[in-house]
Amino acid sequence: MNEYIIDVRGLEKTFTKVTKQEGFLSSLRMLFSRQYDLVHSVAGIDLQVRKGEIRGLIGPNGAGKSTIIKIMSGILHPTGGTVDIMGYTPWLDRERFVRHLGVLFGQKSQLWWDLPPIDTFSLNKEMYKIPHDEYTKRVEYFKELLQIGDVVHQPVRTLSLGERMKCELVCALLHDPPLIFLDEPTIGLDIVSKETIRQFIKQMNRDKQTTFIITTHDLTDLENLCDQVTIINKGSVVFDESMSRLSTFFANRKIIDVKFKHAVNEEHLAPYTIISYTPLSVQIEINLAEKDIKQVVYDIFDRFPVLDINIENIPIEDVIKHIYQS
Amino acid sequence: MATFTGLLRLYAWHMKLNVSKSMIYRFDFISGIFISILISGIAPFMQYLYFTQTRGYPGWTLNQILLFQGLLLLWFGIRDVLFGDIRGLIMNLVWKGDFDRLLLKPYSPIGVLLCSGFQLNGIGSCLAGLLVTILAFLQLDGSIGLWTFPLLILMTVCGLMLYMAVTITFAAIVIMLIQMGRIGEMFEKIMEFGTYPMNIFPSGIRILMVTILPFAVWTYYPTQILLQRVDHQMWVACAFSLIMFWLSIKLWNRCLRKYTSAGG
Amino acid sequence: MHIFIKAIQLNLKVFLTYRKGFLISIIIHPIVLVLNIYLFTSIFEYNGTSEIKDYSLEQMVWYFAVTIFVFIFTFNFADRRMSNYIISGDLGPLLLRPISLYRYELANAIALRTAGVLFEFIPDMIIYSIIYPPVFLTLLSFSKFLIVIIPAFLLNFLIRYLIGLSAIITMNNSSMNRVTAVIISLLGGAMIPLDFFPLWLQKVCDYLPFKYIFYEPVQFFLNRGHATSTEALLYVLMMQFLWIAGLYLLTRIVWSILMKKIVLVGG
Repeated sequence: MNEYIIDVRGLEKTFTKVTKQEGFLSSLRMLFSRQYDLVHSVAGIDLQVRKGEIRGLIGPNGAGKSTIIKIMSGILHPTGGTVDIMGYTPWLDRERFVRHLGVLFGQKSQLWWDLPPIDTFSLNKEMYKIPHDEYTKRVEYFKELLQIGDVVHQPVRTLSLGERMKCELVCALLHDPPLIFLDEPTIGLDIVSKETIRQFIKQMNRDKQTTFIITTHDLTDLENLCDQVTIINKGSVVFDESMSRLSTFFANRKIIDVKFKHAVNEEHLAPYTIISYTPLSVQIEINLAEKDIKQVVYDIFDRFPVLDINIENIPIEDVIKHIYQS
Repeated sequence: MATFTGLLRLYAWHMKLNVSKSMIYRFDFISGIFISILISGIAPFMQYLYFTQTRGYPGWTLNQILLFQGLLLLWFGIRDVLFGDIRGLIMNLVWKGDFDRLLLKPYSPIGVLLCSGFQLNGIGSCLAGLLVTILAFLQLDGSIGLWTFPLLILMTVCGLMLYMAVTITFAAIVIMLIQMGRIGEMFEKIMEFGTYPMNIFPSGIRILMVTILPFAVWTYYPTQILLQRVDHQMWVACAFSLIMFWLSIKLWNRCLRKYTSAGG
Repeated sequence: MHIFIKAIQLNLKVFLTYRKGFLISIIIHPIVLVLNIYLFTSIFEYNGTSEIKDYSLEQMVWYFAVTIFVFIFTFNFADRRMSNYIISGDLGPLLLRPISLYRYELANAIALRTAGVLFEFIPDMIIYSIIYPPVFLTLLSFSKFLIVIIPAFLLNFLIRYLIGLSAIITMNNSSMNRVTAVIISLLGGAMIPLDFFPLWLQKVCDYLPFKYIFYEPVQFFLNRGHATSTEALLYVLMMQFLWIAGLYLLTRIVWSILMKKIVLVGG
């Protein structure tokens, strides 16, 4: 038995891609001949995940995240490298392997639009051959945990985005898989729904030792959920350490976003680290180790004609940039 | 075998869901059925015009051709009820990039696809076809022998196998070539050869229609069975339907392998 | 005028990126021609005549080929697009555009057809002529076809646009549009030559605009019967323009009703 539930070594994936050219004449030419380029979407990745872990998988768009997820769920064959997940090689044993896997794509729906979610659940019950008692028990469990008792009996088209996402989650988890891939599970949701979904993931992880792989653009997801984070950029792993280690890159930095009532001269903002500036708005980065955020905010309100002020985490892309620089 | 029963149960569930969906949009459903009965009437009407204004095709009287048209409509109806617009569904899935999700199901993706086409709306064409068939059959004073129904059932089964073969081939081509708006049109046009009595074609095409494109099992042979003028080529057409099904599965597996190694 | 040229350019570009679709359509269309050659050869032989309803075998087979050409020249989605705008409630934002919706849709339809004519009609015409030479065709009859096909396009556009607008009353698009499309092509002569219809039905068709989209242009192409004379050309053109004028007036009226409704209920 492998000590890891997921053991990926030396994974590579190369695509051929048609080169497109601008302009009408060149598209006419493309009717007859095309040029191809090789793209190394994944260039030698190692990834080990222990059972019961919640792993964050992050990286900018086009970094190769979704290719990796697709290979790990058996949808794609890699060009090179080995993958061992729960003893399976996903793309060779696909049909048996996916019985032990739950996948949720945040931007795609598998619910039947015109019918209540409970109907899609029962279809999945049939698909994964879930015994009837187990099925009722799980549906009850999910209904309570996600607070969707009434929702599951209303047609999907009448549900809010958050309610729909919760039902999608149930679809992905109904067959009780020990391993779950969540692709952007909180995208576009309001804060309350986000929080319910996070609580739910933690609860599942505690109760059943379920392993989660989560891709996200939301740093709060990572802070609240993940023990371990893997950052991918340009097809390679650039960071593979604990969440607490990653926090040092951003936890003590905040961004203050200020809008002014009337134009403010850039010189007056001199004492702050300015990220972007227009006469009517400015973004300032604060290092919490050096400055007290409360003090800074008071200070800004005192000195400038503030219309609106927001305090935010630094975006994930900046964290990655910081890691690069260090 | 376990996979097969699993898929059948999946099919039954899809059927249930489609029926409940049709009941939610009851008005659209019922008006849709009336409209499809109305539109179904046009093809027999056109044949009626040909036969009353000319001498028609060799070897067919007006009532015989109406029987053919009735069975053709019935076949379209059965096909649409059982498989609906699967080809459109496949196009959509591949086009939107949702096809990958089928690979996350614990069944063969083509199995899941074939199980998700049930469409109650096809019932309109079934009803119209049944009506025309019965009327024409009564006009012809036809008689039903001991073997009529077993043979008709055999033809239907072979016809469905062949239709699945066509659908699977279509799906295989679509996942290989992705953006193919017109390939569906091509399939439709080729299948149109099956909508005319085989004996109006020259012998080369007739041979095609009982061998590699055995469309004759859909309507031609069922009509011949009811008219009690079957020939031995019927068995060839049946055998080829099964062979085509088997070949299409081979093709699908090959294309799927290629798809998963290339990545959509 | 700029919008028309831009729309045509975009459509051509889209067409070119789908090069496999282009190649396939070159394969698809002859299939139907071949099917019709067999069908009618068989019918003509069995009837033992060289003409049926005054159509020679070549003209009969080409009748259906030219019907496809008419589709290529006139087809558009204005009905589906308009009814979708109305039902989905997207009409409001579209009115904010600096161009009237009617002109926008017309530009779209023209652009769509320019691509169709270039990449489907021309290759089809060449391939068909090689497979089954149109012995009846003269330069004059072909030019007459090209002349009447332009008003036929406008006529078809107006009818489809009106069907699209009818969604204000029916609030339903799919099934209703399907029926009207079938009726137009049946009574227009796209499914079977109108000469096969019983006389009373032919009379009905004379009072409908649909035959000026399909049947009449096809007659000029086939160079047969009344369509050989110049008077016939002038008569058909006159009828086409009368219908176009009438239908255009109708679209203005329906449009102003629609606008009132939108102002009242706020989209």
